[in-house]
Amino acid sequence: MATSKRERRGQRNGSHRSSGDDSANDMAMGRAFWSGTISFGLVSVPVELFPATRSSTVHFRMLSPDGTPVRRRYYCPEHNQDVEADEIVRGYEVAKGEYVVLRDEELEALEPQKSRDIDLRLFVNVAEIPPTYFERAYYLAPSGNSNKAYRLLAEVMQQTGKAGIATFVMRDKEYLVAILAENHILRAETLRFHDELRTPEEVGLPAKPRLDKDRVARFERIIRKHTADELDPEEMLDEQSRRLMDIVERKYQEKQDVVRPELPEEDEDDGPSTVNLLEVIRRSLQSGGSKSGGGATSSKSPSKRRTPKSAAADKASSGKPPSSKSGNGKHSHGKHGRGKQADDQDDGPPGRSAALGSKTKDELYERAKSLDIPGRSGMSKDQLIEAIRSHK
Amino acid sequence: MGARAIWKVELHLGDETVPVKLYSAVQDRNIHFKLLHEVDEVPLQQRRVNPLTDETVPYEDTRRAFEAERDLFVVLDEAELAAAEPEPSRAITVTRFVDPSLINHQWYERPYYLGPDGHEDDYFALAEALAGQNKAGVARWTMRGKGYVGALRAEGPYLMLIALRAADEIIPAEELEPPAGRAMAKEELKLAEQLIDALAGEFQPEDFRDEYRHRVKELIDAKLEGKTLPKRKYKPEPAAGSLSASLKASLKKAGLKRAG
Repeated sequence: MATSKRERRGQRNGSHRSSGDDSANDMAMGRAFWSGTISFGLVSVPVELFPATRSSTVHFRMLSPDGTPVRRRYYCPEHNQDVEADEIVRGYEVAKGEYVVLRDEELEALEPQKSRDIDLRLFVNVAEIPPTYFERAYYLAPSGNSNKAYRLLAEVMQQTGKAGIATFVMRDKEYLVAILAENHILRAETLRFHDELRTPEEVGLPAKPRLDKDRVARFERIIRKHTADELDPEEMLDEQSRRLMDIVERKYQEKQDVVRPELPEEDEDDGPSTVNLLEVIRRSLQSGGSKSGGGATSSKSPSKRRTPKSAAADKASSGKPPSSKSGNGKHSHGKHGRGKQADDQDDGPPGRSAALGSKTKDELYERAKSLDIPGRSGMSKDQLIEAIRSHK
Repeated sequence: MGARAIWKVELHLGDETVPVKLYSAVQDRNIHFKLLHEVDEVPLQQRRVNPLTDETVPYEDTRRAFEAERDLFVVLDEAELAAAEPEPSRAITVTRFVDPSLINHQWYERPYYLGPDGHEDDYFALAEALAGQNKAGVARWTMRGKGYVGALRAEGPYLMLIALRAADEIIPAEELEPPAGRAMAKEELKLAEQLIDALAGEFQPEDFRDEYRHRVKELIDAKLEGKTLPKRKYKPEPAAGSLSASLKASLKKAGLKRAG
């Protein structure tokens, strides 16, 4: 039992190919997890999207015995060697050991051309959406010159209690979303598709028998007796993470078991360990849609010292699209952000490292796509930069 | 056919106990791929390496650490990790009942069905009572070494348990400042409201389909049969002008759609 728990913990971490790390990376630079356009009627509202949830558990890293964080490598048992990202393709297993191979270009061709558009064609009462459909929340901030249209949409949706419903494709997966407004801020709640929810019949629940009124009344009494006007805020917290962070905090203060390993020169950027997601979203909402807003504070900068506790509290969510979570531990693919970038005005020549380094993974991917760089879907941000630089 | 229960457990409410079985209400429809070596299409394995030495690090030799500062780690040992784990439980305990509106949409994480495990009369009576009083129970349990908080609700004649995200995992809207600007023109607000009205309808989840997933599946099937898929065309949307002009034009369009 203990081992399996440890294994799960391990699987959450260490994998630098997950989109989660990229989003943390982008967020630290004050950049959105995704950007696109909401349209209702002929009005378009360019927006940036940020996870509204922080990491679900304390994010532990796996260290080697000498303290160096471990890396994961893809390894071909046939060739007995590690395999680089550009030698990897995706296979759908049709029979034991038999695969249909799908290439990046083939999958890209399946995306809707306007995959960066969230087109609201239907507005429903928020209260009408069953709770089982809700999956994950993202805040939307205005970008471009959309402040006015953004505020208008938020205002009216909040007044009417309506949510706009749409589907769109983000990072390799199609999402059903409800766009709603709270505190004059737009939020996208991703919803499950109808066929992702089982019916009681599919589960095999028995039919309701004839009920004994006294028995129902007994449960009604219990419910009344234990009814409260409010939630207990303490009860709604993640105690386990708090206990873990208490231990970390104490050891950090006492300088016990604290290691600063030597990292290899060409070490991949795993993304910062601590991102103040709240701060990032705040700034994006206030930048009023002007791109010049710049980067938000990240505790990456040595000037700003923070305790591990506050770091954990601010930690960015994995921001992982729900699909990767349900992949029963299998790492389905390391592919992200293939959609069309809303604003690809920056089309400068590749090769200037500083410019490339400041791009989001989404943008780099788009560049790699336009250059037709093979294996781009499996590449990390650094690998994309490298591949674009060396492409001539 | 039916689904397999994940867990047999007791539901505790006050002095009452209702034995239940827990089932996932979510069906995984994602298309899962394996990563293959391009040259020979052999499925790849992953190995953990120490990047300094390039040596494989066996799982037993790894240590857990929290990155407290950039590149500075606090290492936790087995005992410390275990100490933070919640007590294992054999029960789902309902601590209180509340108005369902107190539970924020952002908290909902994953739904489960509860089914009866014997004592069907108690099970269905509880569901009936919950539905009749329009209440949600706040429930706590520990599953596979992790503590959960959930909302117990009636779903038709059945019980449903929706696992909730911890409150500290969520960024509440009240903690954020909405974008500011000049007051909006009444005219525009009215137009926008009319447009939303024109597009208002009921939530019919079966009207929406994961188109991309179906296309990926189609492509796989076509490749299996050695066929190619026809290219699809999309028509671009017309460009928009000023905000109120766009609203008016949209209203006109929506109105026409209605009438036609």
